Amino acid sequence: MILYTCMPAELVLEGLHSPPKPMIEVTVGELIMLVAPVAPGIGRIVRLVSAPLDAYLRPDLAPGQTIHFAAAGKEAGAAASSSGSTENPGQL
Amino acid sequence: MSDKGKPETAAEQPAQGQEERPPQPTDSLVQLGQTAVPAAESNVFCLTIIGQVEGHMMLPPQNKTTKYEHVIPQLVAAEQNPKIEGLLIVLNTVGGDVEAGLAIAEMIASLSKPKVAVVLGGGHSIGVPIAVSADYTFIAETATMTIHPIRLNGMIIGVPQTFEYLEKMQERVVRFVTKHSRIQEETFKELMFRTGELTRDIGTTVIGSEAVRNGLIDEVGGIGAALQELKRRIADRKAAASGGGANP
Repeated sequence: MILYTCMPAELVLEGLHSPPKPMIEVTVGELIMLVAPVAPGIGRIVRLVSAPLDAYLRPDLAPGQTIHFAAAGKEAGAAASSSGSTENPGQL
Repeated sequence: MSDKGKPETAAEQPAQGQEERPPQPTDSLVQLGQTAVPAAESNVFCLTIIGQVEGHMMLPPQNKTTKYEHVIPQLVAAEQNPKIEGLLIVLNTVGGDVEAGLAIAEMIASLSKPKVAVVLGGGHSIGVPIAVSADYTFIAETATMTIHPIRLNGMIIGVPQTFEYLEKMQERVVRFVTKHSRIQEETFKELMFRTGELTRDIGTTVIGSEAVRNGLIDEVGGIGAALQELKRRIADRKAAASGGGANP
């Protein structure tokens, strides 16, 4: 990685080697996203791993947005159980 | 049996009558208990490039970042979505990953829809190629753009090879900027290697009208001017498309 920035590299990269915070993968319908938990059932979107194209245009799914993934997980789990999949992201 | 059926049909009758009534603006207030009325959809997609452009590595959390893995599909979605007719790119970035920044710049440049960029605050380092990638560019009067050489960070295996690699990376940036703006290669390199301007580095900070004078940016202006220009370009594109449709 080559950083091309006017910020001092030591400021940008400070804390780079500290262990990353735990992240979980949440599945809501056909949407898979990486979420950093901030409270039980609430998380901040880190990135969309796999999503329909139009999901990227939704501001509520932009990285940094807070989501209630436990509720979303239950919904996804209900939808998944009806379609035969066993994935339940709320328990991850 | 038949008695049971009758009340149901009677109950359905008024419901059908209600459906015929055109939707009223107060419906959301009555049904949902909220005053927010559906807003008119915009035909312009606003893409903001802020903080550090994050590439292959996740930057530590003190950085505000623009993630390229989100921006790239966003640009694809904006290109294929028929409701979006133009893109407004707003920049306030301090630079970031070369590969990711150039990827975003190349993607913006290759979009077929009209796109206008505005540099507000700053469009530094890798923000320069992203800013010039739009069809028409604006810079706020007080906004700045820092042009400086690519600095080395990371491991050095062999000095000549590393130097050559850095030179190649820099050449990519110079080529992109000179191809997508009016600035001459000599002028851009002169700004990039000027000494005595920056305290921690060689290079130059160009402010507002200076960026326009050097040919890097097209005009000094803000959001209003940018949206006006974008609307004009959208109208031109529509007119060209309808004209082309009439005379194939």
